[in-house]
Amino acid sequence: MTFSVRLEHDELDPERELRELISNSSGVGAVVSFLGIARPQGDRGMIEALVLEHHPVLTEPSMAAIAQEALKRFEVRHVHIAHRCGTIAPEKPIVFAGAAAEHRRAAFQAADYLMDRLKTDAIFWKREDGPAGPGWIEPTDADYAARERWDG
Amino acid sequence: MKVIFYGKLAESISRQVEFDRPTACTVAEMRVELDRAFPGAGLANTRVRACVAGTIVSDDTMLRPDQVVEILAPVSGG
Repeated sequence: MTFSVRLEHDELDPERELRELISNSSGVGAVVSFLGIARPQGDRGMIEALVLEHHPVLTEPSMAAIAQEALKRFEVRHVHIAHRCGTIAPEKPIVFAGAAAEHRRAAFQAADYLMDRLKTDAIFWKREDGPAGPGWIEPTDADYAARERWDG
Repeated sequence: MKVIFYGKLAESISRQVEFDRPTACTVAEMRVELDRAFPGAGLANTRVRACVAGTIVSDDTMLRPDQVVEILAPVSGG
């Protein structure tokens, strides 16, 4: 069981990430991936840019800890996370999270788990910039509830 | 003690402030005093965490006056 994580400072290429996930997953029967994309509209209107602040020391280990926990919880062979930081234009990729497994259910569950944890536990701070001014985005109660369902 | 803020706390307070305290204190005590100094900034939020030397620390951790403490606003990736 292996994992790979990358904090991406430049544009994230989903096809490259998927290739990397597949290339680390020989012999599996299922690969599931999720791609998060910056929205052009938010609750406060048009979004001109999404800014993801990160911590110079803590961010990458927080991603690795989430990937390692997914490997422990699910019957998966490989987990891959690539996460943007910096300024992201609307409709550009923010995050790629994927899992490869012998069977599909474990891969789906692991990918779902990765995203719930990244939303609430990965060390990033998210801000939407637009005509309404900057607005910091924190996890919602639904995000925390989604994360806590894995604790049961 | 040097205090560095991340996320919305850096915007509402400052990226860095000097927390003038001659003696050691716990993270919790520092948070209470900072919350008094910067009311409404969100420092009382239980999801705000403290970090010393690259490690997230609990509220009962003792801090020396010569240490650098990082205060992390609630995190949100994905």
